[in-house]
Amino acid sequence: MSSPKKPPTCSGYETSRGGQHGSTARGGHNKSLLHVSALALIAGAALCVPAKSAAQADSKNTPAIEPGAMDALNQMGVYLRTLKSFQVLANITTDDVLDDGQTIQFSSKADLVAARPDRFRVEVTDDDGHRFFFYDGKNFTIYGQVVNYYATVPAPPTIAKLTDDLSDKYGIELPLSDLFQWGTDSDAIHRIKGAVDIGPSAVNGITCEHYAFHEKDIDWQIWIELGEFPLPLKLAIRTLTDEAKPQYTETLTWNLAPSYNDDAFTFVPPPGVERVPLAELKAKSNEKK
Amino acid sequence: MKTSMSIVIVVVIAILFGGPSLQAQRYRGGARTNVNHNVNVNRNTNVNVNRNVNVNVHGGYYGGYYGGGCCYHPVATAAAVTATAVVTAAVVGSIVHSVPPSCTSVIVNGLAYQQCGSTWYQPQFSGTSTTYVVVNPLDDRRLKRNDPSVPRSMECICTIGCNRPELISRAANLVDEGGTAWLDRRDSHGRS
Repeated sequence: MSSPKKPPTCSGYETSRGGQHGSTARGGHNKSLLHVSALALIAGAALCVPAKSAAQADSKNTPAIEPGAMDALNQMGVYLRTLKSFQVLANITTDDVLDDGQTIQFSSKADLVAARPDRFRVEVTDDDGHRFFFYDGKNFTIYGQVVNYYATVPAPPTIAKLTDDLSDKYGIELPLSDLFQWGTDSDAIHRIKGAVDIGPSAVNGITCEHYAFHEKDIDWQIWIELGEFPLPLKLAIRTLTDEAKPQYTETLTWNLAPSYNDDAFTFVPPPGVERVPLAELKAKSNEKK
Repeated sequence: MKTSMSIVIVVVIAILFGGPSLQAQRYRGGARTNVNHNVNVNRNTNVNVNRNVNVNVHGGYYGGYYGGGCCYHPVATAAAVTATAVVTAAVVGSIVHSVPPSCTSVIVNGLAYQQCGSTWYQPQFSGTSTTYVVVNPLDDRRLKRNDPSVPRSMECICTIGCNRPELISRAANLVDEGGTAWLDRRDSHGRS
């Protein structure tokens, strides 16, 4: 088995590349893919040290990584990073899981206006509230219109850093944060254990290419617009760490020429809106219960 | 007649005993909401109690969560987050998702508090949810009530300036000058 670019490695999908190149994984191809992978695994196991072949055994049921799917992901990330400003309307569904394993689906809408690298405004509407997130390069504010509270904290200088901060320090997952992170984190690429091009698929009437990816903790699918604007139009993430496998989906509508003024990114509390703290995650670990 | 009576009784019993079982369940977790940031899963392993399930009165959970954000927030592990905790327990440091209906919004040093009888709560954002931390009553800790000329609606909460009516008359909502802070006891609850 000769590899066009690299010598064979311990990785099953690396060695199986030649066999899969160009396949679309539609219908019956899936089975043959598995067979190729299995053969590659066997071949790889013979060549590799035991530790690595053990790792492969874990992923014997996962599809191989198709270079075309990875390239599409990479091109989308590169394209997203060329956008200076954009607006995205998102229709979102999220499953929560009850104690007994039943999944409950919630819906929400998000309206994001971003001016990279250091400003955004997000409005989120769901059953429980109506929230805004403001970031003007200096401060981050979360404002809950239902409770009429807001919290403002100093913010790092870029959206990318803020996204990490919000998640790590405050437990806030910025809505649609993936849009700022595709292609920026090489770790994310390395987490991918399976990548398949499913084929053309329409999202809101726009033809996309549909890809499916597998990671240790999640399965996810993305629909990327075909043509000169490789934008993500739909994303579905299934969480595998809970046996109920709750799923998150977002369907995106893009505006690549949004109109806004700079005031849109700075929160000015309306009369009667009261300030509260934004709880830090670490502070909570001190409490014992 | 007797038959219809017993049907009524059965229905009443069903309501009495069938209802609470709905609220006994909780959310144990939720779906991850992004691909690139790989943090949720780790947090999820530490969180079993997330928030109340109230199927009938969903609006009881304000601020909500975005994409499962609530469910990974360790605030939920810091204390039992139950509706009954509001009524029965007012342990300082405990955290609840809502406060009783008849509370008064109080601003101290620019931050909002809820006074509910003798229990004081500090609202906060925990993730994207609003939670309420039981704090030491500001009355015991900092309020000084020894000046009868101070209107009850506007009490000095620290020791400087409590006997200076001219300051009190100037104090409107929050005034913080020379270390003096004022309470503005409003009727509104703060929720809308």
